[in-house]
Amino acid sequence: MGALSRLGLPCLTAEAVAFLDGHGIYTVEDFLAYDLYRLGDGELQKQVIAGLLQHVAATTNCTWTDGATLFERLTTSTTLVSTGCPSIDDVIGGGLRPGTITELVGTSASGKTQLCLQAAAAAALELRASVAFIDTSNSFSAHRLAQIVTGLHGKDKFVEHKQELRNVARRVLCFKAFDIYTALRLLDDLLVHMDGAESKRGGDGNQGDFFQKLQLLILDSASAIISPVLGGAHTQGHALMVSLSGLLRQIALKHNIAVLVTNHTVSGEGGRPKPALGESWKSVPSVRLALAREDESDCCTATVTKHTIGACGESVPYVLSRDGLRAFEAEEPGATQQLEWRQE
Amino acid sequence: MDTAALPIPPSSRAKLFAAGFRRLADLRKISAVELAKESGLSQEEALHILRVVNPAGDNGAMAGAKSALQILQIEKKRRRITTCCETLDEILGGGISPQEVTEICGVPGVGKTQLGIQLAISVQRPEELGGLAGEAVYIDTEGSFMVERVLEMADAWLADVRREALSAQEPHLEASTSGLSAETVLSSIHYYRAYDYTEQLAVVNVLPQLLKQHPKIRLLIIDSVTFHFRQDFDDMALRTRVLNGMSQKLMLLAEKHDVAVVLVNQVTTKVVGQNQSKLVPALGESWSHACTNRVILFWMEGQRYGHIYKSPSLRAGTAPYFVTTEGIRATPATNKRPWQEQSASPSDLGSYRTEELGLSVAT
Repeated sequence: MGALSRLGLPCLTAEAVAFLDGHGIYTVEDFLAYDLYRLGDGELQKQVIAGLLQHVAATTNCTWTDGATLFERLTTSTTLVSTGCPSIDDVIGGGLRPGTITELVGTSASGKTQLCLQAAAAAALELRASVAFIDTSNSFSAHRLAQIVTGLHGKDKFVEHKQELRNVARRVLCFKAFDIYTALRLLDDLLVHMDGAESKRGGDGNQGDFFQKLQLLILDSASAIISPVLGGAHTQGHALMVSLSGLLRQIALKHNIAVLVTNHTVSGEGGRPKPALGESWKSVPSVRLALAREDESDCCTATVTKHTIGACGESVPYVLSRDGLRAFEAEEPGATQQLEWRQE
Repeated sequence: MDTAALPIPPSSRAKLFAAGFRRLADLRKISAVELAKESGLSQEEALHILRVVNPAGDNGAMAGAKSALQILQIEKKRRRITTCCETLDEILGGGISPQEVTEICGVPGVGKTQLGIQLAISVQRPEELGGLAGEAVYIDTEGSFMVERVLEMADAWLADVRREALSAQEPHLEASTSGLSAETVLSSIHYYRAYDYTEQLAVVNVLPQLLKQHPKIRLLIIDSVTFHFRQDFDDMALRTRVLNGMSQKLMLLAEKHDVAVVLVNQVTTKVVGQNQSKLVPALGESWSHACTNRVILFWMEGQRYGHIYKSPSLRAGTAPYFVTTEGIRATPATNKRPWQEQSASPSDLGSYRTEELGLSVAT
């Protein structure tokens, strides 16, 4: 909320503004911080105080609800967004939860981007939802996305439904942002568009439609844009990081969207990898999934290292296959079938 | 979004804050004159802030967005830069891709610079033959770019391209190669020699201008990205920050100007467990996230191999290759000319070359 004179409230006549100026009150914040008894209790003062307080109450607009309503909403209208890999869904409690931020942290080549692409594919295919993919490191590959969609869809059905792939690909929108300022602007614009799509149901053409169906926002990777500004003698980088996390949270909560971010690793004590965005970022995601790849091996493991409502420490092995991330179960007959299928 | 996160001078930020402009929404629909009056900023400062908030001609976030379908169509049409080695091209999905950052790492002598030079030449392949007919920028930090060797490889490449055009027996293909000569090949490689890391960063910062002036540039090579950063750095956190900033700039360039970025990296020894070590790409864990694709070149039983370590779109794969007189090839040299020792870079062709090369080299 900016200067009082720009609010355009009926109670703020020229006389009232001049009066407030006399008390050193120029902004809404000045007004709230001021001892209102010192303003006096004339007719003008009463009107101004009542009018402004009403305005503040109306714009901040915080309403309460109760546990029963929340629970009902959870059971009836919350759709978990699958990552496309059932075993990983299981360890994080069924899938990516709308309204929360899930983080993937892992070494290079551990499959972070692959899991992001797979979640995008699964949401667009199975939920027919729109997906916003913010790519900060040139790693979005539509070709790979199409491969994963084919893998999820199953080959037989797919031949008949080539149109389906086009529809799925249309639902995934990719944005590029190579520095934090661009990313912040982008998220801010997305938020404005989402607010817009919410207010005018029916929407304006394709764009409105996209934002109404948006269920998943992916930021791959968050650390690539934050780490160049973080650290050193200045604290501005930290402020930027907090802004980014604030915006992500706002988008998640306000529009009930599942947010998936990735974080890379740096070497920590004794050469062991640790997350690049460390302690101060740790409070941002509700769920943190650590991906790790054993040396010289195709088998990777995903471990839950933070979960606000579920159990931590559970881990699941997976492999990166042509069709995307798959549970590592070499002995099962199903898996061998899949292998043969791939060789065709 | 907070106004605190805007890329503006701290003094302007403080004034905005004091005047109550805390949210980006406060700055929408306000003129520079009004903003200056209310915040105590000068009109120039106010104008600058408003330009940052809402750049002229900008349509907001949706302008740069593409759907996966559009990107898929673009990717299908995209031509790649061949390595001139069929086996390597196969694992790379046809070659090095524009709009991506690819890192090549390996031990000294395995052929990193040779591959770099080869790419700088083959990016010039005529469009009629499925090439990009582009130009290259070569940023040399080690002094390993030897122009005699480039000429040698260019001659061999020209002969190959002409032969290919002739064998197709189509007049327009033949015509497409007629404009090519060793001189045009050499003059299409823009060469920078960076003597320290400040120069290297400066070159990266002026690249947007260069790419604007020379729109035909399709390839950017930094050989090596590592060299200056492995010395003179006490503050490792600063190094990480500087390197990450540089890699984000290179990614922006790759995307915006449709160029392939190739970064050559060295390897270093990492101690694992007791009395054990292994070779890993230099610059550490955080840098390994900076490239889109990572190709590791290595020796195994006297044979050179390329291995795709990571890529968002390619599967992991390994393929053999040879460094011959002609350049990077899938088959051993046929010995047209004797190998000239001085024509190759000292850092890339170590003393064990002749023993480990596994080729019959006439001397």
